[in-house]
Amino acid sequence: MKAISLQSLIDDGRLWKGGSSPEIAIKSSGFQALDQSLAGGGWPAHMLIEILTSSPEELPMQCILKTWQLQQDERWYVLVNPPYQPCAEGLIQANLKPEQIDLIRANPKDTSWCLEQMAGSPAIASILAWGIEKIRTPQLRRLQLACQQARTQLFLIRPLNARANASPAPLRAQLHKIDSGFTIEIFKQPAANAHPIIEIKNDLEWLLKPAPAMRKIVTQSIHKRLQ
Amino acid sequence: MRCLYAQLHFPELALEALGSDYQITKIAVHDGQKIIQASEQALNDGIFPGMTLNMAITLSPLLNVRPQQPKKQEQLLYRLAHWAYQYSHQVAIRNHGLCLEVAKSEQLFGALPEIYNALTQSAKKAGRPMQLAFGHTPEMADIFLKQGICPLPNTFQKCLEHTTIEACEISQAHIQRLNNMGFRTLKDYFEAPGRARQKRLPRIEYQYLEAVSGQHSSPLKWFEPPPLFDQSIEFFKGLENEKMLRLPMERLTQEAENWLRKRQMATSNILWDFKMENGHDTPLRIRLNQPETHAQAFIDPSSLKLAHCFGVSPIIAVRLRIQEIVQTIPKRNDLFLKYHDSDRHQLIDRLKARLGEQAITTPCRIADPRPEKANQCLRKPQSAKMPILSPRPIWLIKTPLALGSSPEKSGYQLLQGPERIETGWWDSEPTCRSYWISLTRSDRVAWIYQDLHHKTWWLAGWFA
Repeated sequence: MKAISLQSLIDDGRLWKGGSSPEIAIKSSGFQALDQSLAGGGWPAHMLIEILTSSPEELPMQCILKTWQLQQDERWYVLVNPPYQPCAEGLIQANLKPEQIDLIRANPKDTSWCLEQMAGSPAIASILAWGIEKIRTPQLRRLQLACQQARTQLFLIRPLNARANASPAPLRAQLHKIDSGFTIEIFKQPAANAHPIIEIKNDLEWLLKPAPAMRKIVTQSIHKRLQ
Repeated sequence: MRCLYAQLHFPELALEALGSDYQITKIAVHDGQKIIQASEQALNDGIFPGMTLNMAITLSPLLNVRPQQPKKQEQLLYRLAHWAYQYSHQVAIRNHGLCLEVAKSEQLFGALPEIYNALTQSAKKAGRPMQLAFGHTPEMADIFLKQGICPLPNTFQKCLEHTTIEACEISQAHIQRLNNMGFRTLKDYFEAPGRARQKRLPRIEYQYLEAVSGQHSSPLKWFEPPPLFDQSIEFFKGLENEKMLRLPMERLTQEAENWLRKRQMATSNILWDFKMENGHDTPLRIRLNQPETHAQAFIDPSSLKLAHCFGVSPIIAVRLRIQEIVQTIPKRNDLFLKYHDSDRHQLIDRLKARLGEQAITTPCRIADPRPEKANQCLRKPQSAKMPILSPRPIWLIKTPLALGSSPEKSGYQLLQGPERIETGWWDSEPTCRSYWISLTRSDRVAWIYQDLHHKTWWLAGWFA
């Protein structure tokens, strides 16, 4: 039987050795427990990241907002087909710069092309994209290559049933809504084995400290929930 | 510094003037009686310049024979003068070709061999055959060009001495007369005393030969680039898809880039005109995110929008016009910059061309106390100073969702509030609301309000 060397695949970065520490640029997720589970200690900075969830309108932004808040990149951030309209005042209060955020509405036919254009542009730091129901493997591969070449981060929100299919995305995670927040399961990532599901609690403590002009109405039961 | 000229000759000028795709067409150009230029496909059929028209048609019945069109040749030379203007500040259209003053160009491009390489490579890249020769006068360059040689200044004299009298552009009678006097080469002629030469030839012929020797130069009318860019390319066979049109469009945008660069100008507005075979014209206007100079910045959005221009009829001519230009703003050259502004502008142009103008917006804060008016997504970013406000959500729901007369019944527990917003009396959308931060049963933080006129509750947004 002919022996095939895997070294060329490893050299190309198409294959990783499990358990080794990869030399990839990362950006902290903003959640300590999640950073510990992610290889390198954060979200890969220049890769395609698949987020699978059944609550696309709620969980992805909760999960990604902190990493955007922590990034000090002068490049642009993009929201593609978000479920709601971003609120400039809310973004400013969350320490983001609205003028550095682009909002793109693309029809399903053009979304993949549009993502490839943006992922391949050195002017973009990170993209959060909804509205991808069906995407073919070669298109995902092209997105991953574009991210690597232009040093762009792309979070692709996909439905849960995409988990059954193989994907060239180096990092794949599943978000699940629970009462106190959400859980995240990283079921594929470069150079690391599977980790247990991480539970991330909603940060609701700020609700206990109302703004000066606001009145607080918090009953005992709510107080318990918020803490 | 002694003057140096380059004379450029385009052997397929008459063919190209009729259509830029002549190389893939079996075509020949005639002057009424004889073939003067033939495309490669026609040459393969045995057609050659000098052949009579009847002979050519007999030899190749499918040959496309066209009369030469001096006006179109003049237009093409004018377009070529634009191209040559990047190599010299003095370009003249003369003798069915171009004449460039290159002595001063040496400072920019290097010695003559380097100018020769730059010109020939640029012509080769454009797929255009070209011959070139240098001389101290345009007439001297003409003589070398006619002999198919391109000597450098140190060998000009030697090459001239070997040139026969027949190579000079004087009438046959005068050539014969000089030959009868024993002048076979220009060396023989120039060795004769000046007064003897002057006596033996009429004034015009004498001055011409003096110009050939570099002693006298006739004045040239220098080309002046027009204030607006307007160039077109025509085709023999109509183009039926975008891929075929890509190359001529790239050529025109490259010429537009050269034209803009010479002026240190940029444009954000270009206009294409596509002429159809059925006689209709389809205009295509491209507006860019910011003024640009690079050909690539024009071609990308143009190609993306091009699909709409192809209708029932093939395209037989493409025209590019630039009518608005602005001064170029120097780019920031920061060593630590990860990207250039142009990267972003070009990306936005491509996205706009494919997705439409409305598809790309930026969240903006407008100075208005009503939240739905203060937070808008606009095409051109603007930002009003933000006052100290109570917490605002990350997401706004464009059309608020009705929650009925009691938020608790809809599962929204009030936590913080009320933030009273009673405003908008100056227009037709007065607002009288109490905003609350509330918690859903699934621990999602919502922004809801009560319409104080109708006493109804509405969901306005979500905190992430």
